[in-house]
Amino acid sequence: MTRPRLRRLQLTACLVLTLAAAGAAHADLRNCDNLSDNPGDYKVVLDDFSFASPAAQANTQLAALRETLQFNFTGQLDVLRASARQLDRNLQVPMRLVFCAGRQPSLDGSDFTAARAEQLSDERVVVEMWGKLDLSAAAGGAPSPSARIGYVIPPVQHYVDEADAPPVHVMAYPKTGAVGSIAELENLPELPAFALIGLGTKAAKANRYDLAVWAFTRAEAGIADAKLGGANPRLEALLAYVKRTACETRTTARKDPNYKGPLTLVPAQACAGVEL
Amino acid sequence: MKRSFGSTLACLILCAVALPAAAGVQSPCADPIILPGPKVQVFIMPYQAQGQLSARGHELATILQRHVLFAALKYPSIAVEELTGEPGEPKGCEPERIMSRVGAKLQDGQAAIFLWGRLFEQGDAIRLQSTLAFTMHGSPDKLQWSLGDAANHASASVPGDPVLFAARQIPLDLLQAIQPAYREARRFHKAPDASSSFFDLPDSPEARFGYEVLETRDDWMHIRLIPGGDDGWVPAHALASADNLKGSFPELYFVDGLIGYHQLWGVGSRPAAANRGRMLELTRASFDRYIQQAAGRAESEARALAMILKGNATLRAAGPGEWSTQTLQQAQALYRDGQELAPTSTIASNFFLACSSALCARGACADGSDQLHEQYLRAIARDPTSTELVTNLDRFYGAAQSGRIRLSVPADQIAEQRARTSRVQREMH
Repeated sequence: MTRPRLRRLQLTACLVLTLAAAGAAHADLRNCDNLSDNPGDYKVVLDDFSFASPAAQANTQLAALRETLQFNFTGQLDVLRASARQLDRNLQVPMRLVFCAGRQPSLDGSDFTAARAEQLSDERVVVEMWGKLDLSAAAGGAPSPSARIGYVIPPVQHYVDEADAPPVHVMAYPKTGAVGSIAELENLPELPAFALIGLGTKAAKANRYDLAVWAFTRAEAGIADAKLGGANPRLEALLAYVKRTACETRTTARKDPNYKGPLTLVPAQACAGVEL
Repeated sequence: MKRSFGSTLACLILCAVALPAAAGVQSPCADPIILPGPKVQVFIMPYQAQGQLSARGHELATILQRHVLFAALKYPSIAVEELTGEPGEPKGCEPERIMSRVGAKLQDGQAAIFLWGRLFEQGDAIRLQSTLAFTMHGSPDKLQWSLGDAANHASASVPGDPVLFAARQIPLDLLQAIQPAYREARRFHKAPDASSSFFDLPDSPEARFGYEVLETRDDWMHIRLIPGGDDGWVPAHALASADNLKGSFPELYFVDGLIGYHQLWGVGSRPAAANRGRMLELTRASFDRYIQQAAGRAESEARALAMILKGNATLRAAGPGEWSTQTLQQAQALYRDGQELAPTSTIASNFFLACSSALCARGACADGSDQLHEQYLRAIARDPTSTELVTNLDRFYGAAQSGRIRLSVPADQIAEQRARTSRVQREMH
């Protein structure tokens, strides 16, 4: 094990114990110092993956699950980096990964209050991700290793009604269900998809229409990939939001006298129940 | 612990007929060797291991990489180089650095394919996640279609972005299944006959050697070892029974397809007409196998790209002149399949629209020009950042104005739309 990872594990264990003793696991979400750096950049925030208890931390199966998670997660970071490079090259829009050591939001995302969502959105955070590993006991059975991964899309939470687009998503890992490939259950395609939805939402609000539509289109592809891991009504709701908002962005662009870009070439379209 | 398991691996260099015998030398990441002769050079970088690898894990990883080397034997003018890392220089094997070093040394018309990735062993399986990049020195991967006159054409490009594949799980048991095929591929016979006497290539990860293909006869290849000069015959089908491996690791089919793709492209020196048909067949079959094996995985854009490359290979195999309507229709069908595999892919849309525009300009527009016009607008509505799409729409209107493409839109409206498109084009630049 490398030294930084060992240190992170120790820190995680220390924090878990501290938080358990305090009895208020999400009263004080640790701030991420790096967020105010590079204020012009869009950011993907990655928090620590923590163990739910010292017993969980000592469990070898959970340690193995964490390794698998780490491997697949790194793959998704590569996808994100590739998108970020493309974005920067074509549209001169920088997007960076920010690692927040020691920051552990509560599993249900309740730390992300409206005020915090606004602050994160203002800091150009397009998605924040965290995870918790635990031993979950089925009725009458032995405890089995599992992980829960949480995502929040601050711009969606801040600007959009929750009934229109759920901003917080918590997923069990590995996924369960019938899929074409077992390996797909270990995949994490949600991360780049959610990042692009946050980026699209933020860009649409800033009247950066081309960037917003590009991001929504790419997010649509990411959600399609995420759906390979099994049906999920919250993902469907997000997909509907992406399609509708992309359509509305095109409409707004066409009406904006300051906009002279390619969307002026596209005919007007009704956005209710849109299926482009 | 993160380390490059490839740092202990051998360097294998597979050379073409015309290569000097001195070609087979070790090639570290810090100084990759570029051979002057081969048209296509494949660089296999060390896969980065997450955690410890067992002996079986090492063995499987070695076989995976060497499989690319052996599988490439069916193509002429190919070099496959396995790069080795230096202890204490973890950044020496970074893909960007290697691509930059290789790019600076390639000559015009030489193509390079880079394969790298990460691996992780747990329980009875090894997990791999691969990334691929490719480039033809001095020539962007771009095709142009005439829209009726020399001055007006549509174009589409394959971007140079790396292709990321989904992670694969390969059971360590697979070693047993593919060992016989691997053993056969290492066997050098005295004559092109399975019953003739033979000697085995060294199998140790520390072994270093290269190949020169002297001649081919039926299904056999006459190969000389470098250095040393020993020669022998190897059956080209030797690894056919190792398809189990490619089934678990379908990007190997993608690499196969890419090698053929670049051979067909062959800026400056193309294969003879008789060989082009066979090479196209091999190329398309490899991409098809990749698409089939990767079905259901979260890599729709890579599958769509494979389909586009099949279309491009079809056109390039037909030659650089005016493509026949039938050839264009074959390519168009493949581009349409690419669009269906990745409906949001701008690249797939652009290849389909550009090729379809050329067919419409010939009066061979199966779905009608108006529908193609709508598809252009829909593609731009999905990706307003693509200058290629907007430029092609402008050319499409140009062909409509000259009467090459018939639209039901009145002439004055076409003129107005073209003027707007031209303005947008200028804004984008």
